[in-house]
Amino acid sequence: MSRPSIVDDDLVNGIRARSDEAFAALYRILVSDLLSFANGMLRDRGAAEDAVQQAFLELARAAHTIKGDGRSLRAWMYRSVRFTCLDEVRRRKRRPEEPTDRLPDTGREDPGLPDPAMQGALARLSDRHRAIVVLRHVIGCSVDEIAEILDTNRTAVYAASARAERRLAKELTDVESAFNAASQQVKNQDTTGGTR
Amino acid sequence: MKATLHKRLSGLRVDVPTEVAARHAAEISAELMHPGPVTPPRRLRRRWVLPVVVAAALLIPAAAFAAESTTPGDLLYPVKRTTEWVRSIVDSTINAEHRVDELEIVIERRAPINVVSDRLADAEQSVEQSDGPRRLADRIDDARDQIERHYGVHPRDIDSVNQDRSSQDRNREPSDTAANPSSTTTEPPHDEGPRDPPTMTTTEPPRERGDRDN
Repeated sequence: MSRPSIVDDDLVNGIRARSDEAFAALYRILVSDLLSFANGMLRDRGAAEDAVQQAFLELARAAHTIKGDGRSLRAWMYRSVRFTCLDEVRRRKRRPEEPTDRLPDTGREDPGLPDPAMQGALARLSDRHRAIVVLRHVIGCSVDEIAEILDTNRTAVYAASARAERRLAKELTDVESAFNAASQQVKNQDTTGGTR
Repeated sequence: MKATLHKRLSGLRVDVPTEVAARHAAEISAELMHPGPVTPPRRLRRRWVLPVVVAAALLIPAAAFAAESTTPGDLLYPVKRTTEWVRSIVDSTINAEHRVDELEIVIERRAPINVVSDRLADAEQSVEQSDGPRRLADRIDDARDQIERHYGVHPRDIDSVNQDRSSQDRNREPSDTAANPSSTTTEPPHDEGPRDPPTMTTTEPPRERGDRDN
């Protein structure tokens, strides 16, 4: 079930030649996947958009150094986004007082994000497990692609993926229980307020 | 459960808004027109950092430890002087202590008398400059006794012995050295057994020199 690479050799050559059209085409092909990946890693739409833009800017600077085929280029872009996301996560850990720090608040519901319970459970995973889950289930990357992006091998990806899914299921149960308890409490308060 | 997870996770896909795409396109075009400096991939930039830090963390203390018993001329002696300079910030007598250590080491190794003489002078000077504790002065006194015992030379006569050796070396023909190397050595006897009493074949007291001069 290998995902076919839609970044062909002509496009890679155009990127190497720093062609505007090639960059626009690559952006159209990858932007949704990269943005979903960054959003899954950061749970912050603005920061995710910045990470994607940063990856394309880095590619524009280093276009002539790109080697390999379209698949390598895809992996290069994912790696670039991932490193930017990890830098952002580290920066938030160093400065937890910043209002943009939303990653540790795993139980908080955010109406701006789809399926906040799942987002909360994802945020409780380690960075590596979160990357694997998002790449495999949100983006739909193959194990080979994930291994190339994370610079590891298939066996390690299989093992880490299984562990991450078990952990995610457990965290999801916990987060949903917390959500249910919180919503029940809100209902009780509304009922109490209505009867007065 | 896995299928449920996959289905819910698939719903987390997001699309880029048009205005964001336009902003990104403008930024990318500007970068293509005026490219900034190429930065190496972050992973490559950081790949060497950890090994270098680990190697430094292991090698620097190991080198400093290994350099503790070195004497001038040894490979790691500059390391010892460097660590000594750092330690002298908190311990003003460390220089004098090391010089006395070196004096004891060269005596124990039965180094040539001129080397011992140099180390003795250094140790005395260091102890004097650092106003070192009494125990260092006592150790130098012990070292003097050792020199007299093992080299057969009273410390106050070392300088004159050295001068005599130097003049002998200058006047000696190279063929003499080849013919009778034992007569030219300035090293003390490398006796395998008990070191006392010292043989007098390699170092001569000043009075013998005076007799020969006459």
